[in-house]
Amino acid sequence: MTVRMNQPTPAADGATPTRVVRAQLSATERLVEVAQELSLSRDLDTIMEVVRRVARELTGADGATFVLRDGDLCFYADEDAISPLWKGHRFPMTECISGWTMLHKEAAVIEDVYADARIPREVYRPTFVRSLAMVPIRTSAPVGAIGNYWAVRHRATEGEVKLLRALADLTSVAMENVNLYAELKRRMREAEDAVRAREEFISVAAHELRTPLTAMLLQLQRLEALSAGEVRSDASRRDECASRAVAAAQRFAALVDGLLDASRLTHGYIHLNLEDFDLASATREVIDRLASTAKRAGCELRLEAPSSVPGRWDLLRVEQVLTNLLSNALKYGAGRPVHVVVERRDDRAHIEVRDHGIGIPPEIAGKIFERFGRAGSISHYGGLGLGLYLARQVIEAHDGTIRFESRPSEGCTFSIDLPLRTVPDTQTSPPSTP
Amino acid sequence: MNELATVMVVEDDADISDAIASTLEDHGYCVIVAANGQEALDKLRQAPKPPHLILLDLMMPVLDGWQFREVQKGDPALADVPVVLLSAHVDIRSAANQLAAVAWLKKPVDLRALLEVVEECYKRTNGSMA
Repeated sequence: MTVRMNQPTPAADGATPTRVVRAQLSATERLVEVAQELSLSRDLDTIMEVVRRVARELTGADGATFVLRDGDLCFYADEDAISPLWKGHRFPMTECISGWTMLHKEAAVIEDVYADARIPREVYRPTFVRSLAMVPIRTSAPVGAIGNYWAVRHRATEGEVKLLRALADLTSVAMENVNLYAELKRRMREAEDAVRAREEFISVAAHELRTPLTAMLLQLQRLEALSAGEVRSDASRRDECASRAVAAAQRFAALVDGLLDASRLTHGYIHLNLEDFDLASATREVIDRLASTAKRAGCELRLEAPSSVPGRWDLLRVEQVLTNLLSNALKYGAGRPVHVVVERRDDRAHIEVRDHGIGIPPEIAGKIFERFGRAGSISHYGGLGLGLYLARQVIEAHDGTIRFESRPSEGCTFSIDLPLRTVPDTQTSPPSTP
Repeated sequence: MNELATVMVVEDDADISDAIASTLEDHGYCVIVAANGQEALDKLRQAPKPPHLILLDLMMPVLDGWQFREVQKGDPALADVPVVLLSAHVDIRSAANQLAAVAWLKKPVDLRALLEVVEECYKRTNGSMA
């Protein structure tokens, strides 16, 4: 639909009041249509497409531009004109008329661009423009401007400027709606992701909790059968049954602790109980504790460490981090050696855990320290997906850093750097947002 | 109890496979344990005789239960060995249908249910064990 409503005032051309009223009515009707079109716009491109076209229709101008504020620059984002203007160009706010309009929060009407000091003449010389009118979008805090251009000398009438202002107001509302719509969509996507992650987590958590529960239940029922004489029994078999049931119960308790820990970290702060200890010895102890798991996984655990690396940290938390990293290395690097390095580097302690397993696929590398992040598919590798999340929280609470390097199918190296003495005022720290 | 009745337990969690193996051994079964689908296939191919029954977990490293079943069904020497699913999978019933398992047991599994299913499956496919 092409409607030309260039409507000079009666004083300018002697038009009859009836013609003026008809023209005003026609322009108003067009603005109502535009309001409907803009209200349905869901993105900025659609708004610009509507506005650049309608801006010309309303005033009968030879060209229209849609300018967006981009920091201290004016970005000529779109245009509709008899020949090219400045689409895609950026000009400093202080060196173009759209910038002047936005900075002064008022319309500019220029009958002869070559006679106005606000106009950069060199920029206009290659164009058809002789006259222009420019209005800001959102007068209170302009986010852009709409320009009209004429090839012949023309002073935009008060009516034309009013129409442009009305279009700018509609555009401002439409742009805010688009922003709100985009924000709403983003939040909905976040909410959907959160629900999906939670559902997946519940399913994974149920699976993980069932595993030690299954072992515990079977061992206890077996103990019951042995004690009742249902099957051949002796004291050592009953003892073995009982100790395996206890081990499964402890594993169950550790999983529950991990869940509660993650929940605490999400909702509050991590508290460190700092004490002086030797990191090399602590690492050796963790490796000893994991010896049977390493044997089952077919991994040799190799430690490279000096006799001692003394420092001040939270022993239980540091052991928890080491256990998580080593458990992952044994899980994902089964059948191959796992190297652990502990050393002092200037005023920091450095820990490395290197496996030769499946590695971390690049597409999930950015999420590996998030809650429920995991390197392998859930159908292949169990675990709550909390180990690295907890590790990062603990290391950052010590004012340290944790990072990894990995190539798929070649393994992964996790590196931790800790200040030798965590200072008391970092004993609590807010949780990192994943 | 027929002492030659052999059950293969394919389960990545050592605590569970230990508990199941001990329980079955208490009741006179001969048990072969494998930590994942690939290890199970290797052991099955090396064994002089296939087991009477396979207790199969689904979520395992290297080769999971679904992948194991696909290979097993494609191998004429192993295809006829009946499989009982043993998993915490949310929809274990449809997984069992999908994988043509003769039965399924949801974790945490009850010892008596385990023994009954193993006994029943063995009887159905191999005759009475008694």
